[in-house]
Amino acid sequence: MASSSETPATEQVITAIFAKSLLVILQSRSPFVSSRNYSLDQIPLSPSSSSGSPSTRSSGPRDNWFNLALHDYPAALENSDFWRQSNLEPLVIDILLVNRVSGTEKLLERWVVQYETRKQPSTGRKSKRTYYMGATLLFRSLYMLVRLLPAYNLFREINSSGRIRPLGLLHRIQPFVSPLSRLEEAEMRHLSLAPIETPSGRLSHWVSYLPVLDDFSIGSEPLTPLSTEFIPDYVGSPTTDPLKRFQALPLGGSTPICVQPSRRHSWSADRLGAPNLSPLPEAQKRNKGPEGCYPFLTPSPQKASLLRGDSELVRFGELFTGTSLPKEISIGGDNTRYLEGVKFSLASGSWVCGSKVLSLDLNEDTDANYPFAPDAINRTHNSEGERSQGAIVGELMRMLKTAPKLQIGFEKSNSLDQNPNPAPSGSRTAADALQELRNYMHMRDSILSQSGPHPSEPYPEKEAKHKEETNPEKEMEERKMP
Amino acid sequence: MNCETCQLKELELDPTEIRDVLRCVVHTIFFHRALGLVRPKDVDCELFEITYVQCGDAELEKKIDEKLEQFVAWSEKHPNRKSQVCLSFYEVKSKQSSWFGSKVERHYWEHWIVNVNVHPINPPRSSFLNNREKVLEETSTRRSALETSVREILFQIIKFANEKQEHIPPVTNTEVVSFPYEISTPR
Repeated sequence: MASSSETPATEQVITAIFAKSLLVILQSRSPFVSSRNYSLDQIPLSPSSSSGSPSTRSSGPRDNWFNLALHDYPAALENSDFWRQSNLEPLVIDILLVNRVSGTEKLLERWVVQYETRKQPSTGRKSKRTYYMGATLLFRSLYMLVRLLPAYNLFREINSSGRIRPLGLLHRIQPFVSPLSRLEEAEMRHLSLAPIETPSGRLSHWVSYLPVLDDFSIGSEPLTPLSTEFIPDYVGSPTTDPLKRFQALPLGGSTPICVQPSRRHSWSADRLGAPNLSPLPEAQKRNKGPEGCYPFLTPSPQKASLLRGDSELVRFGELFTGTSLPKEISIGGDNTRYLEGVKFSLASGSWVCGSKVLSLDLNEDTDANYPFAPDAINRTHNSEGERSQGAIVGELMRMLKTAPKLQIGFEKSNSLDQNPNPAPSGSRTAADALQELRNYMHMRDSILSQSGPHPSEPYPEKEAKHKEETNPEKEMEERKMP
Repeated sequence: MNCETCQLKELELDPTEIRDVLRCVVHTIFFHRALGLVRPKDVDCELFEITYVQCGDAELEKKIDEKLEQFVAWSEKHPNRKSQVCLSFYEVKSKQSSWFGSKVERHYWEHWIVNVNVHPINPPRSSFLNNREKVLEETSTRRSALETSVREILFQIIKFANEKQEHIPPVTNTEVVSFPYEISTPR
C-alpha cells in the first residue's frame, strides 16, 4: 500500500490496526461477522462458568495482534476494505438500523479510523514498542467500548433471535467520511479514543453514536408468520366425535377439502387450505391421491366416493351449488345411522353407495322425474319428517346394495315405466319384478308427496303410476295370451 | 515514575448488588491492564443489561471472587458505611541494602479506587406488603439509576486507561496479567 514515510514495519502495524478495528467493531454489530455465530465453541457468558485457561476455549484460528486474541477474519470481512488503496484513506463504518418493512435506514453509529501523517516526523521518540503498546491499550478500550454503546444490546437482541424481525442491523464501509445531516449532528454524541502516535503520523479512532435507542425496540412481532400448527385431536374433531357434522367447509367447489391423517405423512392439510379433520382408518389411506388427498377431495365438485373401511363409511365430498356438507353414512351392519340433513343442489353429481354407482344427472329439474332427488330428502326438518326420510333412505340403501347395478341417469329415470328394472335373472319372475317396481313407485310417491306437487306436473305420481301399472300388467297379460 | 490514581464515582449498593457490580468494575479495570495475550470473555451482568469483559484467566477470577467475598462479609458486619475497594498495580524492585542484602520494594504506579456506599435498600416488611407495587416501582427506578452509574464508571475507566499511558511500565513477561497487583478491602 502506498503510504507515508513510515517504515515497513510500522506500515504493517498500521495496516493491522485498521484490520483489527474493523474486526472488533463488526464482531459486535454484524451477525455475519459475530464470533457468536461462527465460533467453533461457545464463549461462556456467565461469570460462574469460568472455563479455565483461555487456550482451551477455542480451537479455531485467532487474530492475536495487539495481544487481543479474536476469532480470525471471517470470509465476510476478507474483501470488505479491498477498495482502500493505502492507509491514508480513512476507514468509515456506518452501523445502520434498517426497517425491512418500510425500507428505511437510520444511522446508529459511525466509526472512523483515520491515519494522518505528520508534517515533520518525530525524531525517534516513538519507538515501535511504544506505539504497539498504545495500540494494545487502544484495543482494550475499543473492545469494551463497542459493548457499552446502546447499539450493542440491539445487536444482541437481533442476533439472538432466529426469527426474521422487521428491524435489522446493517453495516456500510466506505473510504470517506460523509457529512452527517443536521439532525444526525444534533442527535449524536461523539467519543474519541486516545490517538496512537507513530513515528510519522497518528492513528485516530472516534465514534459518533445515538445515545438513546428506545424508539427502536425490536420487541415487535416477527416478520415471518408463525408456523401453523394443527391439532389433530381438537375438541369436536372427528376423532372425538366421528359423526360430527362438518360445517366449516368451503362452498362452490373452488377449494378442495383434504383430510389429514396422522402426522407421519409428509403432506399436510395446510397446503390445501383445509383444517385437519381426522386421521383415517388404514384402508382409507390407500385411496390417497398424488397430492395426498383422497379421491373425493378434488377441486371439481359433486364427487362422492366410497371409502371402504371397516365401517363402510360413505363420504360425500364437495360441493354442489348451494350447500355441500359431507356426511358420513354407515350402511354397514348398523342400519340405524341414516343420512341426515344431506343437501344437494341440482347440479350434476353421483352417489357411490356400496359397490354401486348411481349416476345422477341433476342438471335438469329432477324433482318430478327423479324419484331419488336428494333435494327432496331434506325438504322437511321436523322430527317426524326426518324419521320418515331416514327410514326411506335407509331402506333405499339396503335395496340398492342388494340390487343389481343400476345404470340409470335422469333420462333413464324418466323411463321407468318403459324399463323400470334391468333384465331380471332367470330366477326372478315377472311378478317379482312388478312387485319391486311397485315398491319403487311407492317410495317415490312418498318422497314426492313430502315435497309437494310440482307445478310442471300436477299429477306426476298418478300419471307415472298409471303408466307403470298399466304397461307391465298389459305385458303380462299378453304373455298369458296364447 | 509517576503514580496515577483514578477515583471512580461512588456507587450506592444494596448488599445483594455488591458482587455483581464490583465484579463488573474490577474485571473491566483488569482487562485494561492485563496486557499479556488475552482471550476476552464476554460476561453479562446478572442485574443489568451490561456486558463486560474478563481476561479469561481463571486464577485472576478466583482471586477477585475471594476479595469480593471478603468485602461482602465486611459490609455485612459494618452496614450503612462508605468504604473503598482499591486495586493497585506495582512494580517489584529490589533495593540493595548495605548490610542485610537486597530488599524488595513495591513501587505502585497506579491505583484504582472504587468508592462504595453499602446500605440496605429494601423497606421494612410492613410497608412492603402494603405498597407492593410502589416498592417494586421504586426498586426498578433505583436499579435503573444504578445501571446508569455503573455505565458511567465503565466509561470513566475507559477514559482514564486511554488518557494515562505514560506511567505504565514496560511489559516484561508473557503472563496474561502483565503486572503484579493488589486488591485491598477494608478490614
